[in-house]
Amino acid sequence: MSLIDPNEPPARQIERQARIIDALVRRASRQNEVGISAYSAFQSAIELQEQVAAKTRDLEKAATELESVRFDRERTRRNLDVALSAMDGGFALFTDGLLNVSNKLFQTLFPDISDRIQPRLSLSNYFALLEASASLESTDRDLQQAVRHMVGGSGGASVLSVVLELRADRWFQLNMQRISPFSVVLLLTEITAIVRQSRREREDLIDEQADYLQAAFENMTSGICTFSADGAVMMYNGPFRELLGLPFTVIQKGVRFETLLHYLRSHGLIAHDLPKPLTVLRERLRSDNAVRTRVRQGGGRVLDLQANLLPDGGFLIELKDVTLESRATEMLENRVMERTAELTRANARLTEQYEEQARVEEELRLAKERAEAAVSSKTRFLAAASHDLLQPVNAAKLMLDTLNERAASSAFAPTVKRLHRAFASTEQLLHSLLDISRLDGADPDMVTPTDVSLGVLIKGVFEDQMALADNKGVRLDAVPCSAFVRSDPVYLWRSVQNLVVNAIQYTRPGGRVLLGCRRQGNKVLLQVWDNGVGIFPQDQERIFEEFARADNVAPGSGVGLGLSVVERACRHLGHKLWLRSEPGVGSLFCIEMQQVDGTEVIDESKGLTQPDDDAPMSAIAVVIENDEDVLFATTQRLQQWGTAVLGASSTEAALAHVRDMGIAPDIILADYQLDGDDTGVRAIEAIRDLTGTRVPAIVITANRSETLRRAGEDVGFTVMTKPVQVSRLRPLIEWKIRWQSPQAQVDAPTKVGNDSGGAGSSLANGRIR
Amino acid sequence: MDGSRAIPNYVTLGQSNASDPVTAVAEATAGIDLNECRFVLVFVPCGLSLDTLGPALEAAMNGVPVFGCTTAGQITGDGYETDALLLVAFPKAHFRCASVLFHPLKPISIPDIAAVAERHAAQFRHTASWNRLALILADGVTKQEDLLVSTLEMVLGDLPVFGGSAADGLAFRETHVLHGGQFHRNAALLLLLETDLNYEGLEFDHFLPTDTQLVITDADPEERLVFEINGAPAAQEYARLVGCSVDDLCPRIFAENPLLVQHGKRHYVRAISDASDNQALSFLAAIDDGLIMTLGRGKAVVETLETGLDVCDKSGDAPDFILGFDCVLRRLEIEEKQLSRPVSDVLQNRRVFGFNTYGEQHCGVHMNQTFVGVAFFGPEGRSLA
Repeated sequence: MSLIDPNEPPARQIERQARIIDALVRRASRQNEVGISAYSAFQSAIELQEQVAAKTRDLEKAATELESVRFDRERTRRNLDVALSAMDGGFALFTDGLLNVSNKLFQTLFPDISDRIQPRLSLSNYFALLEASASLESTDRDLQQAVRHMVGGSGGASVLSVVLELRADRWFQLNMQRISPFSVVLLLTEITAIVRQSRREREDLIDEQADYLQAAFENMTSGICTFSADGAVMMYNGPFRELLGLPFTVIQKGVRFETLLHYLRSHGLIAHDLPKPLTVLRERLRSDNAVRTRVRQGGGRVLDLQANLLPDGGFLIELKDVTLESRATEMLENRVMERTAELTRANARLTEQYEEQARVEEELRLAKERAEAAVSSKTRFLAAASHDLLQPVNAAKLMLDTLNERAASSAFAPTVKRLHRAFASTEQLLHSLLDISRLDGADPDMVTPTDVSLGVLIKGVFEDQMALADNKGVRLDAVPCSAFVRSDPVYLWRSVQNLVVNAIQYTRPGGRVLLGCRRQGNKVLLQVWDNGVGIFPQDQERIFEEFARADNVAPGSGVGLGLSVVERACRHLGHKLWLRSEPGVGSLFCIEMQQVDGTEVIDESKGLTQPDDDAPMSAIAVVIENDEDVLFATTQRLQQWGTAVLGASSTEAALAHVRDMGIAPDIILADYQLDGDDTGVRAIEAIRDLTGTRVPAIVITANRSETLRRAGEDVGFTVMTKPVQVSRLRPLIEWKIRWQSPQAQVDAPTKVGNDSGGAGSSLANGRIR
Repeated sequence: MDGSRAIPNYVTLGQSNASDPVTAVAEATAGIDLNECRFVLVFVPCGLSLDTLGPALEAAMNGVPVFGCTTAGQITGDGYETDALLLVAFPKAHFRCASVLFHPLKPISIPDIAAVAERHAAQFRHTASWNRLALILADGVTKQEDLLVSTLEMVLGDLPVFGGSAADGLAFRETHVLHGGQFHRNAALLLLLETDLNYEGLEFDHFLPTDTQLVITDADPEERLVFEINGAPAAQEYARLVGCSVDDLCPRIFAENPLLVQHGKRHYVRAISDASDNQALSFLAAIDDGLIMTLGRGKAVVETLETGLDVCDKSGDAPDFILGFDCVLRRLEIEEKQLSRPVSDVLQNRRVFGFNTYGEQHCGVHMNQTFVGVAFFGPEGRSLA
């Protein structure tokens, strides 16, 4: 934009141009005026400012350079200051060989020459003074020579250092340095602390190590001694000397190994063997690094010696007193040996005892065998005796029956009756004796547990003893029962029978006896009650003994074997037997048995018709009996019943009769035990063979063994035990003839019968309530 | 630099926007530990009763010297404000000071000023390794700053002088400086400072010269009045050059279109404060008859401010705080362009505290429409991260 508004009229424009020019000229001419106006002040200020700015820039540049130079100088000075102050010692500057500057310490370090140390003192003189000073103890080099070297030889060493020892163990280092051809600086630095410390450290170190080693040595319980490579004592401890018993004079540092050895040998301090000569020892050490051995001293002391090679070729010997250990070891060994011997002896004794025991056992066994044999023979004897006694009793009873019937209405009737009773007692006694002898015997066949029907048993006993009770005037009742128990039928029967008989016996006429059983859980209690005389408590144990009798029982009322049999039988059968009784009130005997599920045995006499005592029993019977009396009695009885009897004493005789007769008999009655080895069973088999007919048979025997009963099952005959009860014999014969004769023989299996089994129950009728 | 509410370590600020002088003093001094305080600078907003404020301050300071002036706006911890009583407390630990009041300023007696300043500077005891500088707070309407600062510059030698002219809002009538508990017209306050902190002077404007040149053909340099430009009435010709009518002339136009004088390669702003009825233009800095001036053109004010304030010490650390003397015409332009907030943010971030002036003094030169500042850094070797 132009300075002048072009829109103005030209005249105005020209006028303005003129004014502009005028103003510019005015201002230009005013430039040379001297005076202060605000604008000129401003102008000069900014001019100045620019100049200043330019100068400032130059200055700053220069200042920066100067600053860095100054900084370097400052730093150097500072470093120097630090260095000087760090010296902490005397300082002196010698210029042209004369003392120029020095500090206080330099001047006063040596008090006796301090007043002589003045400016312009020559270096040589200073050293001369120094050497003469009383404070100076020693130097590590010749001062004068050093100074000559320093001062004279310009080309020589420019630095010199001397250690000065002052009095009172003070140490300084004198440093002399040529810093220019004209000036020399001397520095005195105190090094006392360093010298002392290093000296102390060195001493401490050595002392400490030595002390430490010695202390360690002394505190060892074993004796230790080190030897140098050539075998001289280096170091040893107290225990070493004491263990070897060496006097102080002998063991010293430097003493030879051989000398020690010699001393030890000559003074008997070592029993014999070791230590070996040095050369040998060395040799072994070299190869093995260590040698270990045991040294025996006089007085039973034992030392353990161990030698080890040391790094410097020397060796170390360590001694340990192992006397106690070795003694303990010996003692232990001895003890072990003693123990071993003791054990051996004990073993021998044991062996002996064992053999003795074996011998005793053998003897015992033999004795037992002998005793058993004796008992067995006694039992056999007793059994045989009873058996043999039963034969005549049997015969007598049969004959007494016959006589009883015939003399019924005669005047002998009471006598016969008493005779009959006497025989009955005898028979019962014999039975009991036989039972006892058998129960005491060791025959395993003795009892044969089977399922037994208590109903049948109770009924049988009841019926058997009805007559006895009637005679005594005692009322006997039985409660029917359907339980089965596991027991031996024969002995259980006998036991119950004995209990009932016993009860009747001890009950006064008009009293009552009750037989029955009671279930208790899975047990059955068979009980016999009476309201008899009762048993005193003191007698309740005793009554089961043989021939025992309660005190309140009149003598002669019984032999007293019955309860003994019961006790034995129950013991064998595992039944519990107990009683409860009160004198004057009555007694209860109870047999406790295990109940079992049982089935009613088909009674072989079932369907048996009521026998007609009077109707003749027309049949042919073969009776085989080796006892003449019994044969006669039996024959008579049978003939009385109207039976044709062929009597024979042996199988052969019987066979002869059958052959003569030509037909098979209707029944065989055979005694089991015949003469010799002949038996009734054999006879039965022979007759059956001969006739080819299965003739019904009954074996009558005193032998109650199970074996025979089984044989009866196998062969097919009924066993009846002696003495034969006539009342039972006839129905059995009739039943057998009817049901088991070959004609009537359907295949009904042969059933075992005996004198208690079927026969009794077959008589069941109205007499039981 | 990035703290939005960065607190300076080496000065303490107190501030109050209360309209009652006593209340304002009480509030502003509340956070200042006077026992640790060497002296306090106070920047007074328009409208507070100076008669009350002076004694109130004197009483509240409890013997601590307080110096200050009236302003056309304050730069507080929050940036630009117009009604804040701002106190900047300088701690004993880091500052020493001596003060001189030049009164009256007009008529000016340069020899007197030179003598007094010289004497005080000589008496101001020098502490080793501490840095020295001078602050000047001068009456803003007596138009004596050019002679004053050039005289001081001469007398004080290597002691740099920074300062601002007192103001009274936009009234351009009566400005005061505070010294000895009293506000003085027609006076200038010189503060000689010594500090163990490092400082750096700042000075920048945001104008470039245009091609438009003009010649002052009639003027009264004493009164900074220009009657004629290019031979035509000054206001009319100025209006023609900036492209508006005479009636539109106002502080905003003046602020945006300053006139520059060239010296060497630099241009200096000569701000216009007013246009009188007789077509004369009133300037805020020295002018002269026959002077060739150049019309200035503004640069981006925020960016130049940011660039101008972006200084750091040898360790690369930002200033702990900046004492700022900011021309009121800059502020007018900034407000006109609605840049108050961004500028305030910059000032706040850079920890600038100070006031809006009627003129700025920097190393012997009185100027207009510039920002003059002193950036204080932490003591050397004591980097406070």
